Amino acid sequence: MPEPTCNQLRSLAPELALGALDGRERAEALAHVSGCQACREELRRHTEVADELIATVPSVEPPAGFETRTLERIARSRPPAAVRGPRRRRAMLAAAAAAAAAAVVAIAAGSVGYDAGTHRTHQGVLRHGTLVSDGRPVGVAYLYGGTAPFVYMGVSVGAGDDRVTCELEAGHRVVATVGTFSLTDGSGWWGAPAPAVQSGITGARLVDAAGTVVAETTFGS
Amino acid sequence: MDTLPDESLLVAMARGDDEATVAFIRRFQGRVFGVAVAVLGDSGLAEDVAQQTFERAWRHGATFDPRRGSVGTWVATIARNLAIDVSRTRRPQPVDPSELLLLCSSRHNPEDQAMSVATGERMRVALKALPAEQGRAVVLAGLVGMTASEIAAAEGIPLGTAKTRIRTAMSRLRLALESERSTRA
Ligand SMILES: [Zn+2]
Repeated sequence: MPEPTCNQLRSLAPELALGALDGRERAEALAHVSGCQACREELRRHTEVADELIATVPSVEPPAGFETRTLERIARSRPPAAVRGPRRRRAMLAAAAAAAAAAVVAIAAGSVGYDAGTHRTHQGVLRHGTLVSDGRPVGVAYLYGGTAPFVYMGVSVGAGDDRVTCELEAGHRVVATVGTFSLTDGSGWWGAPAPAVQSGITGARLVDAAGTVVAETTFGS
Repeated sequence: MDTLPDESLLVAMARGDDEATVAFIRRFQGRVFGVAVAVLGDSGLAEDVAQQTFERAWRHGATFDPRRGSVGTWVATIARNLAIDVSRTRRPQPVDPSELLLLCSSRHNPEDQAMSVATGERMRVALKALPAEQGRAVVLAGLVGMTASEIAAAEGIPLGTAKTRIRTAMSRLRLALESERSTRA
């Protein structure tokens, strides 16, 4: 597939951001962007415009009963991967805090990208890293070291329903197991209390039932 | 729940918290349904798309990356993409681009602006200021998901002209947003 040059990409970026390129052109443009920081930045600026365009569409209240019908539809689908049991609520709140902290990171960093990083909040240190599988980014993991340390992770890798175990590493040695979680259609996310081995943790990995590493990440430090 | 930030609400919903799911739907249903109905022009199809949008948000919250934009934009984009898929397969009446442009460039209720306080109004003004043919091209691409060649066919213009209209419109809109940002800074 011929990849566009930076100049060609610049002229394609507005259409790419709007979602108006056909499949082949889109794939070629994305292939270039994935390896070119300057064009990624160019695309990001166009994407902001495209997003704001969608935001100009006026809200319209749906017909009566919409909420109930939507809830019924959701109830008919499979339950999401989640930590069940008495700790569920605590873990849920922790995960909510992680997302809020991640948003703080986003604002503080003021940039878009998958780079590993670290950020100090008033409550503790939030470290994050990109989950990688075969060199491709497949998700994000956060390690939050506050008074109630926890790990929060979202991953979308491959297809199929699977059980994966999340392990924490120090160097390349596994030092703790966070828990086992479900993937639905290759996707899953969860927040769980982290074992109390905060110092020295360098990364995390996901291992399937057969012991194969599905994805791994290095936390920024 | 009603005071939780959008990101926290999304996480709580995906973890199976029913209360959060209800709150999430309430918070975004107007926006999601608005996008679906704008693209499809049909309330029945739009409801189906809106329901599907929330099901996806509930199921695939993991793909939301807070560094890439707001939850509102994310969920509106899901609605747009699903609506485009439906409009391609079920082919309802084609959307009138002039009406769509008018819809997006008019000031509407104040709650909408809370979704995008910083940029919403300036974007509308900028959209309105575009030459009509550029405005149509950019809403057909950005909201209806038409490619440049489809826009060329629909408008009866050469492909190069369609591409130029899209690019020019986008760079004008971008200038408007960026000048607003430097004004605020
Ligand atoms: Zn480039």
